[in-house]
Formats: sequence, structure tokens, C-alpha cells
Amino acid sequence: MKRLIILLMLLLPIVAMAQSGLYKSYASRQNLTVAQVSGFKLNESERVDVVIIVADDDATWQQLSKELNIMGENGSVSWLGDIDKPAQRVKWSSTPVLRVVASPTRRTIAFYRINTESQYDALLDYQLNNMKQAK
Amino acid sequence: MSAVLIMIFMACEKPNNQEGNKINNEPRERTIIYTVGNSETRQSLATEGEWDVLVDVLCDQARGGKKVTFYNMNQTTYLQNHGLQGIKAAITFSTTNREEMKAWMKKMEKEGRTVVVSYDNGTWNGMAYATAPPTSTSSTIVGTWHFICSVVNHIDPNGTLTGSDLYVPEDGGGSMYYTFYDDGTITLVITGMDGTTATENSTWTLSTDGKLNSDLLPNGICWDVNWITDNTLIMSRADLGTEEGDLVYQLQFDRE
Repeated sequence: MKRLIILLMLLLPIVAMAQSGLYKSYASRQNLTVAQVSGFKLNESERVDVVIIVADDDATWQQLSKELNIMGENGSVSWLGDIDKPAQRVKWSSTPVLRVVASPTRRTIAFYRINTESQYDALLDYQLNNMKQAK
Repeated sequence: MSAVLIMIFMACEKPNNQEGNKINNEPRERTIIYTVGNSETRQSLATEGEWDVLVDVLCDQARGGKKVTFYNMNQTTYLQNHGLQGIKAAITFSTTNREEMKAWMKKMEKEGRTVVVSYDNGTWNGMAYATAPPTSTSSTIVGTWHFICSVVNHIDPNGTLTGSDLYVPEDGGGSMYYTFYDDGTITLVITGMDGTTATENSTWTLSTDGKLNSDLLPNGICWDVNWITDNTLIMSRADLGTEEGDLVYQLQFDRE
């Protein structure tokens, strides 16, 4: 048991650092509201870690859109992004991967850390359900 | 060669499970109608596997420069009206069935595309496109690329796509391979059907605003290289206000 606790103490900060890197990269910027949620509940069995950023004004959103190659003004924009470089689109080959979901009308971008196919499915369900309910 | 594919599908609504999710195991009836040039084909699909195969075929057609449009039997035609940006490399999909939209989104995203989805009056509308990664610099282009095809899209003054001309070198009897070297030189190797080869050498440049120039590239110079994925490169250029209307050129290359 003691060895397990020591192992967890060693591993947990590494996981926390990996997530906080994305959070910190946006938290230090002006005109952005940034939130980080660990274990965000998608359904009864699936949870994911997510960083959410909201641009406080149109100019900041335009800058974010340019950085992340977001085109369009309506609907939900999504892609699989490199875990360290969210703007870089990647194919599904290995995990973890970021699934980035942006809402231009809300000036909001969510970065979901996906580790499994079932998380991916649950997130798609969650996204489409929310879009349907919003109408 | 000019072709437009039109697909119409009909899907029965699926029941909910206890969590409110759609169950994806119900038999569904689909009628597919597609046209290539002036030839129309009607096809019935009975299984999910047949559907997957057809989606793959249509996606390949779209990658080859053909316009792929999905229609839903329960609504009016979903128009492709995304302006020049959308015409470049967009694949569209429209359905009333949430599970089908989910599967399509997943397929597109897994292939490295960016997906835009909206929901309106019971219908999901999706568009997927390739996006340039910020890493699309000179070093990304260095290497050998197989010239797959060129497409010229004709757009009338109202912004309507009136036709697409597709040119595939290998349909004409030869293959073309471009090798971009990091010293700024470029080599084009053309291989004919009889196996004979011809080689041409020149130079290439990529300006800071993303314009690629080489006199060996087909259809002239000054190409926008915004459309790079891992192994596919699409160059594009728009000639606006010509006597033929607006012309949008696309060249597709696959990395060797």
C-alpha cells in the first residue's frame, strides 16, 4: 500500500502538469476567461478533462479564430488536435488526443482530452444533444 | 471530365434507449440516386456496411475534385453555398438522424478534417474541410508528391457553381511526380504509358504569405497551399472576373 501511495504521489503531479500547460497558456492572456475541469461528466460512465476558454470580445475571438484556423460564423466547429498543439489537425491514430469544439456565436472553445473511443462517442452524443436542446 | 454526384437517402427514425440515445441496430431503407455527368443511377442500400462503402466512395470522389451533395428526402435540397472558401474542398452531409450525423462527424474528424455542424428544424447539416496546420511551411512541402488531378471550378456572377472540369493525368496516359528539394530546386518526372520517362528541372519558392511558385506546376504559378493534411496537398488559386466568370483552380497531390 505504501508503495502504491508513493507511486501515485509521483504520477499525479505529472498528469496535473500535462493538463495545466494548456490552461496556463490561455490563462495568462488578456480578455479571455479560462476554466479547467477535471473529470467532466459526459454520461453515467464517461468523464473527460476539459479546458474551456471564452473570448470576452469580438477582437479577441478573431485572434483566436486565426490562431486555431476556425472558419465560419455559425454552428459548431470541431476537430481532433495534437495534444500539445491544438491548432494542428491530426488523424485518429493514438491517444491521448484533443478534441476541440468551438462555438463562434458564443465565442467559446472547449479542449477535451480524449483517451478512449468510448469517451469520443460520449462526447459526440453530449455535443449533439446540447445543440438540439439549444434550439 | 465533369461530374456531379447527387445522393438522396431516406432513413427511418430510430428508437431511444433508456439513456435517450438512438439505438443503432435497426434495419433501414435507403434509396440512393446519383448522377455522373448526365447519367443517373438509382440504388437501394440494405445494410450499414453498404452505406459505409458508398460513403467511402463518395468521399474519394470528393477528394478527386468532384462535387458531392447529399439530399434528404424529407426536406428541400441542401444547397452548397459556402462561397469560394467552401467550394475549395468541402464535403457536405445532411440528415435528420442524429446517429448518422455522429458517425459522419467521427469519420471526417478521424481523417484529420475540421467539421462544422449546425442543427435547424430537425435536420443536421454538416460540412467538413481540410485545414492547413500552422506548420505548413517550406519544410512541409519538401519531398516527392504524386500529382493526382486538377480541377477548374466555374462560378457565374451570382456565385453559383456552374461546372467543374477535372483532369487526371493518368487517365490521359501518364503519371507525374514532383520532388521539392530543400535547396529550392524541383524535379518533375513524367512517365508515359509505354514506360518512357521525361524529367524537367526548375526552382520553387514559398513566400511568407503562403504563395507557392514554380514554372513546372500545371495551370500557371502563384498557388495557395492552404490545404495540407498529413499526406495530401491541395493547391488552389482563384482567377476572378475573367470572361468565363470566376475560376477556382485546385491541384491535388499525394505524398509518396
